[in-house]
Amino acid sequence: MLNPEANKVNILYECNCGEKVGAEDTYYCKSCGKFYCNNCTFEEIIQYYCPVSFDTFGLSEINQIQGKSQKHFECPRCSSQLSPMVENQNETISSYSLKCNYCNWTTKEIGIETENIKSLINIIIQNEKEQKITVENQKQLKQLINYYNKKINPTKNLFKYSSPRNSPLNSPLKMVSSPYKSNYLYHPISNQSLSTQFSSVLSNNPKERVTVSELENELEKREKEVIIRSKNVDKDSIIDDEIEKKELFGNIDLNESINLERKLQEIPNQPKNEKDLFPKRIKLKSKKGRLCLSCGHPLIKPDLQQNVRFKIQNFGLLELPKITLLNYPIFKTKEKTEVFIVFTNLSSTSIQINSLKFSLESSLLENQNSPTNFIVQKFQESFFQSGSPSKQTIIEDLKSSNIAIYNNKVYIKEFITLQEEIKEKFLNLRLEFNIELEEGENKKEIKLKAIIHIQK
Amino acid sequence: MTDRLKLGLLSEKTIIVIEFGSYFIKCGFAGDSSPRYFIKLNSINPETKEKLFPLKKTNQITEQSWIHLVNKGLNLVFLKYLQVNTKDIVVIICDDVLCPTPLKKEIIKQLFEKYQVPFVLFAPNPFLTLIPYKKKDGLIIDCGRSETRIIPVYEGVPLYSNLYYTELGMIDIIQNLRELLILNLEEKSQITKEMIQEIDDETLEDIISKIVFIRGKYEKINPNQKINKKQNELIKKLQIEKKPKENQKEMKKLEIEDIKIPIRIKEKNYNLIIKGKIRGKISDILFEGKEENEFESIIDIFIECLKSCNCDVRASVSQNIILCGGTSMIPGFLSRLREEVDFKLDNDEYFKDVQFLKGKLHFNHNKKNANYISWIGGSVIGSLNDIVDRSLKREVYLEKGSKSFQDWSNFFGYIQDF
Repeated sequence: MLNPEANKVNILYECNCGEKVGAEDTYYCKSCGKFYCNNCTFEEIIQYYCPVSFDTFGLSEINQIQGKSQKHFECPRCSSQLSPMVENQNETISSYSLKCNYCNWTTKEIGIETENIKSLINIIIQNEKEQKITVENQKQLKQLINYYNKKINPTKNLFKYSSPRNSPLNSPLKMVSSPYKSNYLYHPISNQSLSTQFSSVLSNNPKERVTVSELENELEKREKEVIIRSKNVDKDSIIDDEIEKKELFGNIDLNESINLERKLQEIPNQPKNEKDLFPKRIKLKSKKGRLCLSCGHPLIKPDLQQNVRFKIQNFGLLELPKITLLNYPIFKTKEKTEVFIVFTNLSSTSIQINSLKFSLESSLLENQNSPTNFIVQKFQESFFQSGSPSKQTIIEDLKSSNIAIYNNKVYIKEFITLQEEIKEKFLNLRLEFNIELEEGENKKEIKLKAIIHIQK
Repeated sequence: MTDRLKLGLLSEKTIIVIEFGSYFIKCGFAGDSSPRYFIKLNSINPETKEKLFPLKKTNQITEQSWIHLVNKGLNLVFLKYLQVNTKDIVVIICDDVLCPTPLKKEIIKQLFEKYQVPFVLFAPNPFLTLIPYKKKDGLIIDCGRSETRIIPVYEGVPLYSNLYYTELGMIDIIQNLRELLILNLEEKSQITKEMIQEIDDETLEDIISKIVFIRGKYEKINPNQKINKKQNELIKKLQIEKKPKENQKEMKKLEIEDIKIPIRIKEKNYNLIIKGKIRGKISDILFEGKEENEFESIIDIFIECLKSCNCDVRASVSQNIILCGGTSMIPGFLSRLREEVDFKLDNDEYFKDVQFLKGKLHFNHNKKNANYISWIGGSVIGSLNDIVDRSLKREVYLEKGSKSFQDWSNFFGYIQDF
């Protein structure tokens, strides 16, 4: 069982940016020779994978599948995974559907049941694409984009390029073969000379020929349409509002209505009843690497062929000593309290700690008695056989001296006296020390700051 | 030219639109008709262990908490939800009218320095709200979680001098529901006052989204509700105008049923009964105002805003009044707003100057996407051909620092073209 007092002590390292993080969240950059927190590193996605089947996807594939799995679906009610279910209607015919093993929701509830699993998946994916609201909204949005593109600069849109990706500028091959390259790329065309210039340029291709007057007429027509449409919007929205209001007057079946949080996951439909819910494709996850923000050196790089391993791993925990407290100290005003600090080495090399310094925020610490320089031995497998001593033996050992060393751990004793009662909830004990790290044949000293938050 | 070439080399959807709200961060790709995700921030200050987000009115917002919000929010958007490599994307931020400067500075700093985004564009929210309606002028009523803002936009320029806001939003409706539940508690009920106080805001908000609507003012008024003197006089007038017999008939038609809601308090299940007479009154606070704000309601600031506008501006702006924000999606919001505005214009002498507007105001309220209408504007802007040319470049920011951008989003280039 976990010690209930374990949550009361929190030990954090202070990064150069001022952020306080646990030793697990630090990274060591070998080229800079510094420790960094999460904020001082840059996260980079390397590969996507399906959390169910572990199929991997490259960065280029992800846009086609919208970052979602093509085979696996989640329950619209509880977001857990749906699994296929087979029911034999006759000896020859069997029906397939998807079922949630947690809340027992099935696709039968929305009338999806097929004779084979492939067509079942196709129906669900097709339904997602062809939902009424999404299709309509997408149409309207395309119209809007075209409308504003024409407003910004009509010259760009006479060629009917819906997005910059399709424009000849972005394809070197098209640029070379383009018949109107010289006109388009290097000489911006004014509105006045448009019709004359384009009639000559597009004479080979009469289908795409558009004059300025035609364009202006079209724009005028559209603007008129917009005005007529907007007058109807006012009436429509009030009628909709009234209908929706009156629907709520009667008794509402709350068992079938959807939570607000769930509703907002189903954008743009934002359905109200469970009947309108459809299975969703499971979102893909990604493997991420980390780079140093200041020098761009890779700190972590996952192995793409293996699911768990890392190719490069410069975790701070492999270089830093782990700091813990042996006991939860109970402070009393104007009384000496013993605090036992433990330095643990989890790395494969021993750590030299120099000029260790304790301080309290309001200078309530007595003169420091504990040693300032010591070595924390590296971890060895033989330590498992020898075993670690009990708490009581360590405390007894520390009665005579301020330091005790067992295996890869160093225990230090310090006295703290509170002269006044502290009003704040926390007592912050600050540690400053240097560690020596080997860099080839040379040794490098790095200054570190740690804070022990002790909850009162 | 080089910038455009850079964009062309990117994969299909790499223009990201983000809108920071007080409750949700809306994010998605430009060219989509709706945001992909509504991200709710639940974060705790690591030092004080106090809940930072979702924002509450009692929360003390410091510069540190903005940094925390941006740090956590952007991390969620880029790496957990949208999952994109930020080195080769364009980010469009829907810039809030009252976005605090430290928040904006932090967003830009993080985007350029931590995420190394090459291009960022800040687009003013009121302008983006008008884009789906294909219009340059309009009056935007944004009824959100913590406050309601009303701002006119003329020829595409948001008129910040005529911006009005009141601290009325979903948080107040939640508080009002809690108070009304306590006032209407039955003696035999298992649920006590203390238990109702313990129900968290999210559960109450969920209840509001399912069963609450806004009734017209002509209907009966809850005697327990506090009403200011002005409003009381107006209501009396109104009741005199309407014949009592007609009133009774209408009341019979509008009888509303009580609803039992299963709820879990202190790990026990209870049935919370919400009476029919309360259901229509919960959101009344938006139209009646609060005692702390000297009863400044949405109606007051709306007419005040219209009154403050230049006469030329007012004429065109009043023809396109757009309702947006999640709170405006409560059924009955638009009809109550129209009803009350017309009544006030008719009866309140303070608004005599704008009385001629009665019946001439033109409202637009698209309920299906009122909670993300400005995001759609951002999506349209992001899909335009010259997005890269108009955005702030990383090199410029690294060279000039905070001088490279303005506190108020400058969008004059676009406005001229539109």
